[in-house]
Amino acid sequence: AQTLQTGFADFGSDQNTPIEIEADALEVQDKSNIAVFTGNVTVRQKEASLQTSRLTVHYAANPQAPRTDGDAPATPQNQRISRLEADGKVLLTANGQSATGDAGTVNFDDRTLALNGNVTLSQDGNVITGDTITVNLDTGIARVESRSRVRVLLSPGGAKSN
Amino acid sequence: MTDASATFSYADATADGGRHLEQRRARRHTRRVRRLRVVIPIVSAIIALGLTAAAVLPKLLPFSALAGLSLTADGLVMNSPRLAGHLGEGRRYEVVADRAVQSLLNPARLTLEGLNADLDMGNDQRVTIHGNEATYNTSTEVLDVSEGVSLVSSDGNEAQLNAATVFLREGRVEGDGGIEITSPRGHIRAGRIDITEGGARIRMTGGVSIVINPAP
Repeated sequence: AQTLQTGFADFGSDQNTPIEIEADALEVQDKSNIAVFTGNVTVRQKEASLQTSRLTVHYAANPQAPRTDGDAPATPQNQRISRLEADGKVLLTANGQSATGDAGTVNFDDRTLALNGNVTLSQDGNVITGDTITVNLDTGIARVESRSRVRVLLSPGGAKSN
Repeated sequence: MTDASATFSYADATADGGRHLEQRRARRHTRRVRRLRVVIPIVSAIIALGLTAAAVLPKLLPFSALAGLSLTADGLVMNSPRLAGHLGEGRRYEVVADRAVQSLLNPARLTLEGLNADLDMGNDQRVTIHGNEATYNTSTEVLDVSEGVSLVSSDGNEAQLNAATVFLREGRVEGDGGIEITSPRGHIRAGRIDITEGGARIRMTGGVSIVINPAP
């Protein structure tokens, strides 16, 4: 496994910057507390952005806020995003670094971001490939793992991964 | 018919010329009588019709408030009408307007000005819809609101639409031509919106952009 510092911590690093999502279409299924974005989906929060073709946003009732009786409507005061699930080719970029994978999950509850399937992580010219990348959203540390071997391609003269 | 005889004696005195004058006056008189024989029944029929309409119509129209009912060229005008009904599964709706015009050609069709609809969308969610101009079909219970619509829901969400069609019986709303929803949690802009299943399923198409504010 290979670990390195990345800027992906921006994603949900703090819960007080707004998240912007753009897509062709959106379907909110209130009963199952999910919202599904389809078509050129872009999620942005501060410097980090995630692009995919289909994104499912899972809401969770906010434990602190008082629960309203009955299931809460689509964007009520007391619901917040607990998890984003992107499937259908994911591109993640954050100040100069980018990562791609077949699918990805951003879990705001346990503060992790994971990309899996044909994963590549490129940073200042260095490219790492493997099966999965998991990023700790608090520290920004990324771990690339692979069943076979993690391949690291360091470009000469590229900045050392700090 | 007294004046007829009076002219008769005058004609005697002027011999020929007088007789000619007299015949013309008599002809005019008979024409006037013939006209009256036609006009009077028509006028009385109209009066009778008006009376029955005023008596019968209020029973036909499903409006509870019939104050300010007036008949105009473009139809029956009701001022501040109120209309209530059920949306299915015991969900109530109420439609109030500044003015409603019921077209005489198609009585089921109402044009509503300054409209406010209040919809019970199920699981104690209420939506009030305001539109400047709307047409409402009392038989299909479909409300077409154009020229700007605003929907305010009981949980603090507010939507501005260009136009919306509300299927009151199914608790379904379709809105296209651009929609903007603002709520304490952020705002949403989309090209079109379809709200179905009484608000449990919302579909937005035609490009969607959302900003979700951080949880409080």
